[in-house]
Amino acid sequence: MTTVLDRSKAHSESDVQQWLRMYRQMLMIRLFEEQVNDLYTRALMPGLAHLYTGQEAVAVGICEALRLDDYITSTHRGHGHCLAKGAQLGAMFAELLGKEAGYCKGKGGSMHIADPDTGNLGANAIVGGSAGIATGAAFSAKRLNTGQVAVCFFGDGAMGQGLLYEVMNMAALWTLPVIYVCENNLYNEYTHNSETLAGDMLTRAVGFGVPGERIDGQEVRKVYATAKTMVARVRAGAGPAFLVCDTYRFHGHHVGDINREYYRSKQEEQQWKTERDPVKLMLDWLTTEKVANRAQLDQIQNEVKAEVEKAVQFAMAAPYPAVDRVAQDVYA
Amino acid sequence: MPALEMAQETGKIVSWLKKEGDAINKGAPLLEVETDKAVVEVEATADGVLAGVKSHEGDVVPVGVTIAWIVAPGEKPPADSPAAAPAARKVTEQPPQAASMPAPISVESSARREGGPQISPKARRLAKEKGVDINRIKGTGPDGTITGEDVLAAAAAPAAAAPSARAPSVLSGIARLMAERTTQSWTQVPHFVLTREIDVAALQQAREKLGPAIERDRGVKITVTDLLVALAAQVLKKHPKMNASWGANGIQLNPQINISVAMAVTDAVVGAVIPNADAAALADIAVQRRNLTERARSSRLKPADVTGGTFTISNLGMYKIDSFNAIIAPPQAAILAVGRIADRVVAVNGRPAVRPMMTLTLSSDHRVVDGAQAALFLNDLAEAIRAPEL
Amino acid sequence: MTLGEAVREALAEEMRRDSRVFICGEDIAEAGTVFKVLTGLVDEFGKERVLDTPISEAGFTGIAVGAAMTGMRPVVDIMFGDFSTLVMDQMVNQAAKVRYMSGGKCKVPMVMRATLGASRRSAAQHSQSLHAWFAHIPGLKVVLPSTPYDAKGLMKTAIRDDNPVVFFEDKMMYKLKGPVPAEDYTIPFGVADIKRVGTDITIIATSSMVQVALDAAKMLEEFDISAEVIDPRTVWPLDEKTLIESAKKTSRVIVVDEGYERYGVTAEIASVIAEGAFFSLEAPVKRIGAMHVPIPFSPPLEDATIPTERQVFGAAKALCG
Repeated sequence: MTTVLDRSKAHSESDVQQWLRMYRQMLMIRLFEEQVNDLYTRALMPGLAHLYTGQEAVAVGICEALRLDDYITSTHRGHGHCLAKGAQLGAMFAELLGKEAGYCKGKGGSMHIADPDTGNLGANAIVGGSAGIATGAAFSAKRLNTGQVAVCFFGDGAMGQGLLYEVMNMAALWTLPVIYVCENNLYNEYTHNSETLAGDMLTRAVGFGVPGERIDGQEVRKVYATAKTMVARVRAGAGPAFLVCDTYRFHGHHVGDINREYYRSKQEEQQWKTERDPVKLMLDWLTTEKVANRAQLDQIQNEVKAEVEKAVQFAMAAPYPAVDRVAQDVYA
Repeated sequence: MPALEMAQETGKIVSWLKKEGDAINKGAPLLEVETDKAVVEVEATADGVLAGVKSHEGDVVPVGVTIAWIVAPGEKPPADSPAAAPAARKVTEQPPQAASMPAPISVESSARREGGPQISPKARRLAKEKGVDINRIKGTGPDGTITGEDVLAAAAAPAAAAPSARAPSVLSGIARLMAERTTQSWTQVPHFVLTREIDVAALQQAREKLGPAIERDRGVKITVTDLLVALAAQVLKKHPKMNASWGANGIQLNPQINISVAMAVTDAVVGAVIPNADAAALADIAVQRRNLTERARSSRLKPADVTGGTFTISNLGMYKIDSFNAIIAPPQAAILAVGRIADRVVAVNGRPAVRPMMTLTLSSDHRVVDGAQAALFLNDLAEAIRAPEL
Repeated sequence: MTLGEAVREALAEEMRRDSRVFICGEDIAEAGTVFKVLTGLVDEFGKERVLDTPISEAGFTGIAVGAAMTGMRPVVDIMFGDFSTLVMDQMVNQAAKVRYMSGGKCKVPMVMRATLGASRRSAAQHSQSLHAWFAHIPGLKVVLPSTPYDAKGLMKTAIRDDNPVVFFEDKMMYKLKGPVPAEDYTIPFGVADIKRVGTDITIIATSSMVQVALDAAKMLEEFDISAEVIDPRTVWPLDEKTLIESAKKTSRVIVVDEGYERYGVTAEIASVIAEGAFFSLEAPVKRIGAMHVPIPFSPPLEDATIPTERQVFGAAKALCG
């Protein structure tokens, strides 16, 4: 008993606050996506829903290392990035439901949430499509000497896109403050990346002179620690970096992707869910390390749950945009 | 502009018989309108005061367009509205009916109206706005397309040309109709022509015998034409196919014998009709013929005067013509061309003699009658002329 | 001043006025582009603002989109308009849509410069005029200058515009001379210019075809046909009002554009005229564009694919009857 308390005392107050914040963020993403799944399957949400569940530690760990004004670009599986960078639950849900109160006034939807106030330059539904934008944002940061960095999130599928290598080359040539984060969840939609990726992912970047690292993307503290070092180096002017986070999407490619046996086994999924769940891993660690007691963790759980439910209620009640708004926002 | 006859699209105002502000009685003559076939008096349709006269003498106005208002005393005519000018009525092509009138328009012109001439969108709009009948415009654009300028020229033409000579293409519907109908007849009716020289001494005697009494009683001098109308009508009773019509369903026998007499009007010829000539007395025929002639000379023929003929007689004797071939007026089956009466040396009982002779030339529609049938008719007519029973 | 010099002057003046403006593209710095349009700019503004890029059109266009979203005002140089194919995702799916997808929160103030036009014997991959592709996409503006004056004024407007603007220059017209005032001026988008007043027929022409239309108008003059030549200058936004008014005045319209005739700019403008001036037309609206073949190399073949003044003249005469 005393040893546990001793270990607890070994953590600084600020560390504790940060860990609990990261746990809370991951939990928020998890519960958010559970609500999305529910809304979608109840036919309340139009379009497509690509759930981030299982990958929470990547977005949270990296965004924890960023300033509010640092840039990110996101993907079709982007809810986690947006929330981790600071998006509000209500406006997120509202956007997913196509409501006027959404981040994009209902014009973007699940795959296009942008929130410049939190540095989010937008989720992108073209695989690898935001690599140019993120690199351009880094270009601005360098030219305008703002000290900002840009993080480009993409999946292992984007490793097949030429644009990524074009901009990585230029980012290296011009020493731009950009970090390319590959969330390697093993599947390009419905195809394992052993069928799509030749050679080694990291050495592709190394070829451009871009330093790369590959880490366990399920350990949020590990992701954060790596990102922290990397961001500092990039912010200091060392040029771009490449980070591969090994992770796993717990659901299908999208909510409707139910029958997945032909590309991955239930056993594999079960193993990831029981042994490599980032939220559970963090919760276990917090408990084991006595960073927080059960009551504190339950309180976080209840608070997040209430926030998410309240946000869903808000979004459900929010009005759709008036049809006459359809032609607005095409041109400045 | 009232529609006075079938297939009429426009009417030309010949003269107003009342002035703006005049009191009008329903049924009283209000104005004279020239149609394709005739000049017609239009009667007032209501009591009131003539007001807002928009169309003037010489104007060609589409049917249905307001030309003036009859208002109550003190009332003002409604404000001008272009919507009051509908397009000319659409002509539906119908086969000529045996008992009715000759085909009002030629096949050629029907086709043009049905498919419409090639006309630019601008010209079509202007024609509607200006009330110009596009069928009367000859296009000057590529491939004969009617252009906006053509329409404007047509719209300006009546007003500009009013004091001077009439522009035939615009002003004389009768001339245009004659051109269309003779062309149609000449190109589509299989004409064949029979000629017969006839001794008319007996006819002249009959005229001398009957003339004075009729002139005294009815105030009309009988003419050779009158005699021929009467005789032809009688002979036609025995030759119904000569009195038939060619129509969509083939030969149609006509229940009445209505003899058209070709008469010159200002710049055309029309067939003025003497209806039921077979049942009419010679005196009645003469009176009718005289009235028609007078109306034709003063351009006052009514539509009814020129419709319904079943057989035509055209006499150019007064122009010293010996003989001529006439063009059939469809759907009639035949036309009799009458030459002058002149003294000729002919053989009488094997010896030369001087006799008053006349040449009759019968043009017939071979679809209706054949040569023998027409020859029998002409022979019977010749016999009737040689021994008139009047 | 030549058209090429006018473009350069506009860029230089805007770069002096606004430090956020920069140019990027292939061989633009010391080389000054293959057409030497940008010669000398690097000397004044340095290699950071006149930025030579790798041969990665999609990549540097994408970077420009991101830079534009985050405070810069990039001008992207696409050497040949044919290479538009390489940047289409960045221009069409990214630049054009960012503002709308974000509900108006993001903007993309960038210019993509490209060349168009055949008759340099450059064959099928260096001779096309593909501006219609961009005009088809909501969110983009498409500019086609035909004189040095227009080129300068429109380029300045393009750089100052907060939307992605695609600016096509006819590579055969870089040497075209014309008056350009010394003072600062801009030309608003969506305002057509009547290059020649006429009464009998309207020839709507873009970019390279404006000179062709003017030459045809001179030939028509000898036949007493008075041709009005109008240059829309921007095909989107399009000054429909001026085009329709002219069509109503003359009643006959030819649209000439060097892009492919099928599904092209000529087709669009012809539709605008047909919808807006139908009841004033004396004749069908005539389209004249590039022949529907890949641009051939052999000179007599290439010449057969591109509209000429003789062709425009012939069409105009036929329409006027």
